[in-house]
Amino acid sequence: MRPGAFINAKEREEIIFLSRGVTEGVNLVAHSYGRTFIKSGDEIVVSAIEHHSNIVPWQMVCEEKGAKLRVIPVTDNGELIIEEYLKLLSPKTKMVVLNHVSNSLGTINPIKEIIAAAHNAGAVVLVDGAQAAAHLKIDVQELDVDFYAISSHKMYGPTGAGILYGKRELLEKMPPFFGGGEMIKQVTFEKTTYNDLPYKFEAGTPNIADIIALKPAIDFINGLTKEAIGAHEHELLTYATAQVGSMKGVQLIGTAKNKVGILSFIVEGIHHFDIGQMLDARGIAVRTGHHCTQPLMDRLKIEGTVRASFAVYNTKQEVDQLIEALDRIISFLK
Amino acid sequence: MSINDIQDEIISEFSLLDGDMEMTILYIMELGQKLAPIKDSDRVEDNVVKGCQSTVWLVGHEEDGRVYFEADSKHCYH
Repeated sequence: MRPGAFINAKEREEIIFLSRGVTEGVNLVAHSYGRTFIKSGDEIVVSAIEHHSNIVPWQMVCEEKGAKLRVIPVTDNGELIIEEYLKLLSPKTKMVVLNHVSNSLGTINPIKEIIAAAHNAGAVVLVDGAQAAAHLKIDVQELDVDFYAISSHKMYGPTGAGILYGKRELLEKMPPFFGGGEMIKQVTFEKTTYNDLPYKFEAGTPNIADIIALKPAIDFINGLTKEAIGAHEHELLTYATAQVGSMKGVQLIGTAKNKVGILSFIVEGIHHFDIGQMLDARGIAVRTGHHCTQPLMDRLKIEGTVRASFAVYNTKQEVDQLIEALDRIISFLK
Repeated sequence: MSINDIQDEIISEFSLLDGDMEMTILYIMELGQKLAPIKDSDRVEDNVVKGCQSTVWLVGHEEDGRVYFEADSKHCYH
């Protein structure tokens, strides 16, 4: 299946191949759409649970244009406060940018509702779908989202590849992000005319091999079906949440009602990196640190977490190994 | 004690751990715990080791042709 069909884009021309994943997609929209249509006094709404990749490019736009960044607050358990979001929306709001799923907490955001409210206020919405693509059904037409970016390496594909979906009417009126080969129709020293979509945004030789390799990754996910993947990951998450959450001294970080298979936690008196190192010594791979979401860590008044992420190939036995290892580490270090 | 003697001592200590990664990491953490706290005046931005894991300060100074290092962390278990 082609990437466009994977997210149910209406037209092939609405799919732009990326050579850097979601980060490039966000930067493309920020630098092309943002720098063209955001003016002084405008506002860009971001959420409090964003990856730095979906904060910094917008800060750059705000700084250059004299626009303001407004933040959707988050509850202690990691859910966006929708009433507060609605209050942030005004005629000044030109863009709303947020993730479909939080990489630090696993929270699934109610993006359909968020997109509809943004459109009512006249704003354009970009969704970072990096953490959603391998787990949730994505239908950009049903969501009515304006821009949606995904990374190949978060969906069993290679690094350095991804796709950006954009509505045709928006892509048509945006200037190119990069100038160079492939993105032109004709070049003279007096004037250059740009190529049609999507080539206008695909200057230079793309990461051909890895983009081709994205297709089998999509086929792998479709072969299993997202329903089956979601059910399996949910079972592992439910089991691990109950087990790890009841361990003495453990505090779960991010307990939203709707989550993908991400279990973030801290252990009282033990640094998250020490836990990560000890788990690594036993062959258990977790990520530790702020997960490139420093504003969220500041909001939760923590420096970082240990994050176990459950994928389709993980098993209940592996969750048991994690629990046993954690038990042992806590007994050693406390 | 020469630098080679110190090096040999470290190698011999770690050899006792027999390649057990868990024990090795635990031992390194214990060594970290034994470090004396650094002066408050050294806990400044210039001495912070940049990274995304934790706040660690590393301070070096030279004395009689030797370089001495002190380190401390926000999370050291003193």
